[in-house]
Amino acid sequence: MNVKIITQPELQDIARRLKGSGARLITIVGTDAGANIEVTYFFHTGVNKTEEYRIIVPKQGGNEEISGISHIWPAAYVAENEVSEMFGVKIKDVPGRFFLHESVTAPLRRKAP
Amino acid sequence: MRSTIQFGPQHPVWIEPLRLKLTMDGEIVKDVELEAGYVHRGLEKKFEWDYNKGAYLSERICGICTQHHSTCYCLAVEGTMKLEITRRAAAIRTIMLELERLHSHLLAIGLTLEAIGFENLFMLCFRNREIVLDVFERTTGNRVLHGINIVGGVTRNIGPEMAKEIMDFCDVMEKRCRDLESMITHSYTIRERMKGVGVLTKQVAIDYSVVGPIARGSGVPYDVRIDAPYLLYNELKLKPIVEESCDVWARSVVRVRELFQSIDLIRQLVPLLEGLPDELAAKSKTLPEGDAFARVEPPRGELFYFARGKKSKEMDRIKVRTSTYANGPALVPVIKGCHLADVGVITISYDPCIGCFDR
Amino acid sequence: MLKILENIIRNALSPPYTSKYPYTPYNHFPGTRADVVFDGQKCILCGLCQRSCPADCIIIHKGEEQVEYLNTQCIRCGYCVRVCPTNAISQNEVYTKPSKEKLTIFTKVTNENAPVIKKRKAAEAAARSASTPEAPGKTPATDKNEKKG
Repeated sequence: MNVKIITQPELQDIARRLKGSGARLITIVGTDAGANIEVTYFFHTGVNKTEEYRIIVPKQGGNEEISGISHIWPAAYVAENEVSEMFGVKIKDVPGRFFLHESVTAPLRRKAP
Repeated sequence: MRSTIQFGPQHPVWIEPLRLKLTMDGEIVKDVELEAGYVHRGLEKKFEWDYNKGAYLSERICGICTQHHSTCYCLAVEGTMKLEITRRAAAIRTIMLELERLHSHLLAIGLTLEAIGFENLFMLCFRNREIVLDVFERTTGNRVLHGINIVGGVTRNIGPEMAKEIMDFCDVMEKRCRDLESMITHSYTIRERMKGVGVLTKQVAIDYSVVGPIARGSGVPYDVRIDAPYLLYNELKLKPIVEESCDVWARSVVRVRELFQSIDLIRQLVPLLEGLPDELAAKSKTLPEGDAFARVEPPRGELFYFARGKKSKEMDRIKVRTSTYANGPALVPVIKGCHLADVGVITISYDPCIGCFDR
Repeated sequence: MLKILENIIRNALSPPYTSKYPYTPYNHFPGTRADVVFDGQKCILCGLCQRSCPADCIIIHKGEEQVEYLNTQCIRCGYCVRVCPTNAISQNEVYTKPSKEKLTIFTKVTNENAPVIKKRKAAEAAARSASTPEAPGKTPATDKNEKKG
């Protein structure tokens, strides 16, 4: 798989373009990579063809907000809620919780050794 | 004047806990709110251990699509290690996947019939399901939670006597499924109860990116076995089964017709086992490193696993996205505007597996 | 409609499909994976089964030469059967009956070729021959030859 690293304004354009061309959203995956958190978007665009885009969110920046794509793709609602509550990343226009209780905060984020 | 009814976590219609908060105006539903997380076990954190033991953990996420979960996990981890499996192991895995589709669709059809009140046919579906579970016990050792998939191949073999028994089983199963199909499709009561209920139009289905028999019952021909083939599926002949009427009746007919497609695929696969050398598992010389993902088609929809290794025996990150995870938000536009007596039937026709949803 | 009627009449006139379960026992097919059994004559106390169990239900005690197996925690997966180098673990076809207490099984290892047992017997033989001072040149050599066979 080859991943393209993009910035946030580019993501909104790419999401709109793919919605118009008939692709489908597979899912949104969050990973912890040491100094920052990566959010990867997977799209299915044709027979045996997939595209992956990645956004990098630094941890020390104090939980800055990223804008979600739920107003373009309604299917991204549960996945964005899960990335937001498991890694502590704030996403605009979605409530932050879906699966966990209020007393648990960001369990998948690694503590610095 | 509006009143709120809680279709609560415990309800006799469905098996696992799921909460729907309905705002009613008389008998019609005006607004619905979905809440899940009652069976959340935190498995994505537990997957960061020895990658061999992860195969036994991944098959316990769901009890009905268990073979698909362990196959997809093994395909994703083998992708990070760049490991090729032998052809005999790929053929045995594909036969097990098609047998799994048979017993899962019989359970889903039985539960839909029980939700409308026809308990006799529900018992008949389960009686047919027992002979499929007998075949599983003879080949793998257990009725559910089989445990024959390991990273690199399989552990048990299908010999020539077992192959002949599977072909005899296909004949018995086809006769029983034909009887079941004629009882369901020629029945006036079942058809009138299910037609026109819970309509999911084609445009809404494409917007919400639904997967599985729900998409195929609404006219969207998406099937992972044809759009992104894995294992031995690019050598078999199959076509997607699509219905156009977008309601509960269309989804049930899609499931009934897929039973016969699975029996036909097993009949094409068993002759491919002859003449292959007897190697079942391949040993790997490297440790998992980098990113990889894999997709398969369980009976409920599309399953997606993402794996990342960090050059040691423990995995770095595994992400599971199941089919109910993708179809859950699509419940909301369908339940809005329907009668209260139809909420149970519509939810069961989506075939929800909350153990897969929450992990 | 006619098919349903024919089904009803056929079911009313035939014997019941179920069997009386607790009174007639259920015969599993050969090859079923049920309870795990340890063989004390073949085990060499290497510890591979303890490291590979996903449910952490095997504990090896090298001091007392015993294998402790927590039956109620075992998930019957069969991973330990595959990794044992001397085939000392096997699975039979009889499931444990339900009960109110947890079941733990201790198996004593009596294999003479296990490295732990060999070391203990050699130390005992050396201690014994050092404390009895009669023909010191002959006894230690004959003792060692017995233990190797």
